[in-house]
Amino acid sequence: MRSILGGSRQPVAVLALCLAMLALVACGRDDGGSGGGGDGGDLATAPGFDGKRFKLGLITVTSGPVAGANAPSLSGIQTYVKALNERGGIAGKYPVDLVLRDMQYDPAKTVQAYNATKNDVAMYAQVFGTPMTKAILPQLRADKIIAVPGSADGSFFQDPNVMLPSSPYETQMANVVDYAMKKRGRGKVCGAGGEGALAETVKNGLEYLREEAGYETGPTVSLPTSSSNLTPQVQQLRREGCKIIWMIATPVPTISNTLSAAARLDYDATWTSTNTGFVAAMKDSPVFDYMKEHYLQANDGTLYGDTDNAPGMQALMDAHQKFAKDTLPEWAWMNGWVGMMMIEQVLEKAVEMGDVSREGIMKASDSITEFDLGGIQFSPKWGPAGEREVPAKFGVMAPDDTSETGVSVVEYGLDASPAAREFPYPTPEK
Amino acid sequence: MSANEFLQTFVSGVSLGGTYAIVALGFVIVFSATGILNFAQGAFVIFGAYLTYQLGSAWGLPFALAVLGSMLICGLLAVSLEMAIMRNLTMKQEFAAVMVTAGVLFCSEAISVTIWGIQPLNLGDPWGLRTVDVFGAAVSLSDIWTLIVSAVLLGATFAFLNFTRGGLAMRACVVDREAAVAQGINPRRVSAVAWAVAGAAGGVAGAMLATGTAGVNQSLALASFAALPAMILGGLDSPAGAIVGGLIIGLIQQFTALLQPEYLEFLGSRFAALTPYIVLTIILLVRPRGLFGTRQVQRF
Amino acid sequence: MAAIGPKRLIGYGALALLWLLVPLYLQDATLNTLSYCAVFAIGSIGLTLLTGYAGQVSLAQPFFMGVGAYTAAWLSTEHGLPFLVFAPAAIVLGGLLGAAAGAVATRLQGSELAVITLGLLVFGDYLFNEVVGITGGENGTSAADADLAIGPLNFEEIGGFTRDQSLFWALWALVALIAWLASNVARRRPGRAMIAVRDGARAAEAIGVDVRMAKIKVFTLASAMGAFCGVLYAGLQQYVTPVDFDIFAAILFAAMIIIGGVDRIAGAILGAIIVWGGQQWVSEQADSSLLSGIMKTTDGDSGVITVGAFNTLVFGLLIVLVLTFEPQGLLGLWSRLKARVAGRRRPAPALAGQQPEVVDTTPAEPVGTEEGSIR
Repeated sequence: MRSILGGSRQPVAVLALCLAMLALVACGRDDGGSGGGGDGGDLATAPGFDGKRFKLGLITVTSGPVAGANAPSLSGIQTYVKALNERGGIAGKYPVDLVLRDMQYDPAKTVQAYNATKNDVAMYAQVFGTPMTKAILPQLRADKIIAVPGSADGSFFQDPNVMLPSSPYETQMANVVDYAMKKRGRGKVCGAGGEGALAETVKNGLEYLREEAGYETGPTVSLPTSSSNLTPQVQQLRREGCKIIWMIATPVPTISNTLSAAARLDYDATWTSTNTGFVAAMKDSPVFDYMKEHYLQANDGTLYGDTDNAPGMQALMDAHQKFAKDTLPEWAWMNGWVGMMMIEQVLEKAVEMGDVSREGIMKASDSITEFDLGGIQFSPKWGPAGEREVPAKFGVMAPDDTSETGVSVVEYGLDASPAAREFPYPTPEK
Repeated sequence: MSANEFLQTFVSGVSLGGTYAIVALGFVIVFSATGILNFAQGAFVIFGAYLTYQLGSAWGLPFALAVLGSMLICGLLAVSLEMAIMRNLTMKQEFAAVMVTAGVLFCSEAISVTIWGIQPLNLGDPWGLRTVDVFGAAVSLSDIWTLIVSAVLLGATFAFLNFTRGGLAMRACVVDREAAVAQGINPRRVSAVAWAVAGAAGGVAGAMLATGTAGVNQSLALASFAALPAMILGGLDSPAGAIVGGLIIGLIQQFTALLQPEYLEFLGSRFAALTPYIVLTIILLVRPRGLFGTRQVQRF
Repeated sequence: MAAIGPKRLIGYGALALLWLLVPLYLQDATLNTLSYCAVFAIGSIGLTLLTGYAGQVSLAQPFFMGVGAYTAAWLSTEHGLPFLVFAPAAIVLGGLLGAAAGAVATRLQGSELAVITLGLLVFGDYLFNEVVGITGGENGTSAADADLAIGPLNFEEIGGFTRDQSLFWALWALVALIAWLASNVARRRPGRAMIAVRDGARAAEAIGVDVRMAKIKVFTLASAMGAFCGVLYAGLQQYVTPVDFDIFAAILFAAMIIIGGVDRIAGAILGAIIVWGGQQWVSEQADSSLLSGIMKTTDGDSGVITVGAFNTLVFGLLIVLVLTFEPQGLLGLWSRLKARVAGRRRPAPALAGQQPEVVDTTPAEPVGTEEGSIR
């Protein structure tokens, strides 16, 4: 009779190896989480605050196809924190540390990363990706933690545990499509979304525009990441006579493949898209010429270098030069910075109100009516869930190869369109 | 669906298929000589693209020279891999060999992203987005060149296998290794040559894949997986099969992408990625060795 | 049934002791990782039977895992059904799908088979993403209700111990159970039939093995185990997404079974611990002083390599190095070393060069003679 494990000494072999590995992973149980314990000054400690320093969590992607989309905002966040700590930290007294976890764009690993870090952080400075944020949302709710997602999904706008760092997709869409209609001529509006949830968002937004703004609308095509040749999808749009197309997709190769298919087919339509920074990467690409004529980008504010319109821009530029001058300060980078501005203001308010516990931070967020984003971005009207409003103004950008970031501002400070302001972002049930 | 639409989709299917074919060819070369499914082919594709960028776009060599240079380097890389690693594995240890090649693929992803970063890079090819009008359909120049290069590779492989001593030695090894050794053929040399050729083929395949406007980016790693159905469909040991299989798979995918939203909307857009496998399964049920393959078939 | 020798008994006893004591001494986070190792070990054992014993290369184990996981998640969340319902349901569903796959696969071998199983993975990706009503699509779905509990006995809360401690005990006990079941199969006629199919299907057919049925049976068994692995995965992780069952998961499984030793059940367990545990360990170390010098988080940061790329590199190197030095995997290395030591200690039997212990799962006698009947 043969043993399961194939030999009399096999169990011992397995045993030996197990012991060796366990020795590596440290012994002794520690049954408590960190955060809480020791008193350090006048402000009581809380998770993510040990009396002297704050800890913020980051659940991000640092490798793989989507990493390129995440890297700039991550850099923006890190730069802000370095500049913040130079000034002394939150309220000038409490420096900030970042705890980073890579979840490889997997919602399940995001849940694990969240569980591993939640007891150590006060807030999450970034959770990258809509599915990832949705995966941990029930727990954020239960644990009363606020997260800033790397997403512009409309369902997060009125969520008590989420602070969107930019306008939601539907608002951007309504604004820029409105602008395109006025400037490029009325025509049929269609959609192109990344396969799955993004395409759904685009489709629903298009439906809303048809009813609310009375536009003539067409189909929404799905852009698969698995194909490098998107000619059939563009053909479908062309066949339907679409003149304005709203597009949201990740990752960058999908977008550039779509636009190149359009360029090859000589498709005369206006492609509009959300706040992104990828245009910079396409400056050298042969499709850039097509984009200059046929691409418009929604914008929540302005670009790097615009100190005329944005008083807060100088501080951003100084920090960028000092800490991250090799990183291109395109939109996503600046958005990371702006997200941190919002976090700093919330934490500052919480310190002012004397309570940096979970509840304290949420109360502080609820009590802020508007963020001071230094003109870099237009602030939403803020407050508790259900009472927030999208920014009253917006801007438009277009590709420009003389600009370092690949785009330049076409319009700044336009009034948001009525459809944009009235989109019914859902308030979650309590 | 109008005639123009049909033609345009046909063209796009052939272009997409061309990219599969050129990658599949490299797989087939190694498989013909060694019987191993070589995932390291994906590594040659990645390095081929990045090296062409480095030599051409970054260091300023003319495009053709950059491609040749990267083919050479990839060929050398392949031979070194074969000698250092694959040599140690015997014919019986197929699964281990395949896994080692997968490990090499992972290492190449990590190394390439570390050296060149995550942002997509522009290859700097001379064709860009330029197209040629063929009966009203826009055919992109880079796709035409991809097909030309595939055809040249196919011709060269065919000529090598059938008209040279080296090719004869390779075919002998596959048919009966022991007899080949008895004839004085060195199977190690055969293997090394096969890998060198596959490496060079992978290198040029990578360069051609990156001429698409997506540029040189990390999604090239997935290109090798996308080519697998094409290779199996054509028959694992048939270079011509790789080309035909690639074209068929490309056409199926693109026509499905065009027709599915209109006629079969409930299936969802992801269906287009699945159809190659459905077709492959059906064909393999009827013809287990693929369209042009010559392997032994088990009857059960 | 012959008695277990004293050495083996001590070995098993030591393992059992280890199992009891580990959760009392290790951190919850480590226990959580080891619980994942246990779950993957179960899936790997199934795959070892399929690929190691029967020689059927399959990349589709994550598909069956996904089927099991989503079944568990859906039945528990939408319909409130308990473990005793959703686990068997998942196993049966996985088994049936496996049988179907096996029936299709009988005429295929080697690389063709591998690519068809890859097609199953793509099908799984399609299914898990498209059938949003059941699976939640790309956002995934919560499996928090998929409690590993049998009646009043809740394995997630044993006594006053934490969830991670309780699950460690429960899951590793299940690993032992599955390993025992699998070894019974491997040891007896079905297992020998599998090996015969692997080593020469024509010869096997000639001596009376129904190759077709053997293949279908082993596919069924392997996928049932894969589905069970999925059920436990859902219960452990409490969240299920399509990304968990993609080609990378398939390669992970393949690495697990081959790094340990592809034709050993113990190899599957060892591989699961090393591959999965290794990945987690590397991720943790990224923060530590050991590696943070070369780690960077973004392109502009100081440092050489990002965490994700480093992880991928280590994974690739692990596979390449282990298999280059010992294609039989780590247990094969161990056996080789043992044989060499044994060979030096006493005059070895003439077969020492043949490494009897390395391939000791290959039967000495051909199939069919043990039971004394030849069809």
